[in-house]
Amino acid sequence: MKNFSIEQRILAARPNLSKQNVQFTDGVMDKIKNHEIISSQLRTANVKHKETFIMKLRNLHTPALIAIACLIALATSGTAYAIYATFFLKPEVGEIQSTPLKSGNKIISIETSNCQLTSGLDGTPKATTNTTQYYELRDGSSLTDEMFRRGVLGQCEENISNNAISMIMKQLPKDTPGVYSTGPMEIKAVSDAAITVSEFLGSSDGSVTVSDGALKYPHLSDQLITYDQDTKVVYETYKPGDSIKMILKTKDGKSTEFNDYGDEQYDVTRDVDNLEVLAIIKIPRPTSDPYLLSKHTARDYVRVEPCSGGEAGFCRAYEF
Amino acid sequence: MNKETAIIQDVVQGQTEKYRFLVERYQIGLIIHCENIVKDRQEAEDIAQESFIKAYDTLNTYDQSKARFSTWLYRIATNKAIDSLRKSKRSMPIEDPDDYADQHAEVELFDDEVAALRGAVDALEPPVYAEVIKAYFWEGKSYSAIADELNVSTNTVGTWMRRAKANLKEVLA
Repeated sequence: MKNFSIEQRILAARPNLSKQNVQFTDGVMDKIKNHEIISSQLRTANVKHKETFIMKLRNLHTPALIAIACLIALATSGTAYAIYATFFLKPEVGEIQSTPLKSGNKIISIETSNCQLTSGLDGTPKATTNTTQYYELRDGSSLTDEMFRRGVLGQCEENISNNAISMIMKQLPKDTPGVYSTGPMEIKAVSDAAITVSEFLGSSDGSVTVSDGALKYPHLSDQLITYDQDTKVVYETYKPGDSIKMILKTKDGKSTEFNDYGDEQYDVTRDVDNLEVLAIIKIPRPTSDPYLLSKHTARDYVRVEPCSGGEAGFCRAYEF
Repeated sequence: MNKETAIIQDVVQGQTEKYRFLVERYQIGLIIHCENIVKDRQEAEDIAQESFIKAYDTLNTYDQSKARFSTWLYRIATNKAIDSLRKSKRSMPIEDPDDYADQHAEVELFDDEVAALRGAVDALEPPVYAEVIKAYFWEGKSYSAIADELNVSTNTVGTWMRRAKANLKEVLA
C-alpha cells in the first residue's frame, strides 16, 4: 500500500452502502438550489417585466393607472415580506439555564430560534428553526451567562447577514474575479461619489462598538446593487448611522493578496482606492460579537450533547 | 472517464441534483478532517457544509488535470477551517494548508487493499473496537453519539479508537 495514513485507508474502505447523514446532504442541496432559484427570480423581475409593463401603461386612463399603482404597491409589499422572511428571520436567543456538576463546572443550555436559515425551494420560509444548544462551562471561567447568550446571538446575527450577502453575490455575473464582502460597518457619510464607514468591533463583554477610524470608499460601481435587508432600494436611502455590509471588487479584477495560510483574502479595509463598491446591503444593527465564544472554545467551555452515560445526562463532544 | 469525472461535468452543465453524489461520497471524511483542525464537531459540520457549497459555486474552475476532486475539496475546507481558527484567534497547528489538505484528502485503494482493510476491521479484538471504527469513519457518527449508543463516556470511545487504529496499523503494516 502507498504511504497513506490509517484514517485515509479506513475512509477509503468505506462500504458503498454505509449510512449517510441525509440531513447534512439535504442541507447542502437545499442551500445550493435556494441560491439558484432566488437569484433567477430576481433576475427575471429586474429584466423581463420592465418592457411589457411600460408598453401597456401608455394606453390606459388615469383611474386605471391609479388602480394599477395600488395593485403594484400591494404586490411588491407582499413580495418584500416573503423575501424578508426568508433572508432576515429575526434570531432569538433565550435565557441561559444552568445545571451544576460535581466538578464545579456547570452544564448550560440555551434555546435559539432562527439561528440557522432555512427556506423552501419556492423561496418561502420553512418552519421556524428552534434548537437547544448545550455546553459545559469550566469552573472559574470568565465567561458569564450573559456573555454566553450574547456570543450565541452574535453568531446568529452573523449567519443571517452572511446568508444575505451570499444571496446578493449570486446576482453578480458568474466568475466575477476579485470579489469580497466586508464585515458589518456603520455609515458615517454618504455622497454621490463615495461612502464613508466605520467598522463594528467586538468588546470583551460580547457587545459591539463602532471603531473611531473612518474608511472612505471613493469608487461606486455604475451598476451598484442596493438593498435594505431583502428589499431593493435606491442609493439615496442610505444615511449616516445605518448598519451595512458591502460587496467589493478589486479594480483590476485580480485577487492578489493571500493571508498567512495561503487563503485568498484581500484586506477590504486597506487600500480602499483599489476597491470598487458593487453592492451595499443595509442590515439590522449588530448587537453582539459573533467571535466572542470561539475565543474561549476548549479553554473555558466545551460543547456537550445529551447522552445516557455522562454526568447530569451529558457527554462532552470534545475535551477541554 | 470515471464516474466522478462524468458527474462533475454534468453538474457544471446544470444537472445540480447530481452534486448530491459528491456530497454523499465525501461528507464523512470532510467533517472528520475539519473536526481534526477546529476541534468542534458542530463547527466542523458547518465548515464542511460551507466548503461543499463553495466547491459547487466554483466547480467550473476545478481543473482535474491538476488535482483530484477530493484534494481540491479538502483544500477549500482546510482554508475555511484555518480561517475560522484565525478569526477566533485560536492556535494554528498548520503551516502549509495545501500540503496539509493533500496529505489528508480521501484516496482510492485497489480492491485487494479495500478487502484487506475491511477484513482487518472485522477481525479487531475486542469487537467493540470495530464498532467504533465503523461508526465514526463509515457512518459519520460523532464521539458523543457513539458513546451514547454504547453507553460509555466519550473518553472511553477515544481510548478505544486510538487502540483500534494502532491495532489496524500493526496488522496492515
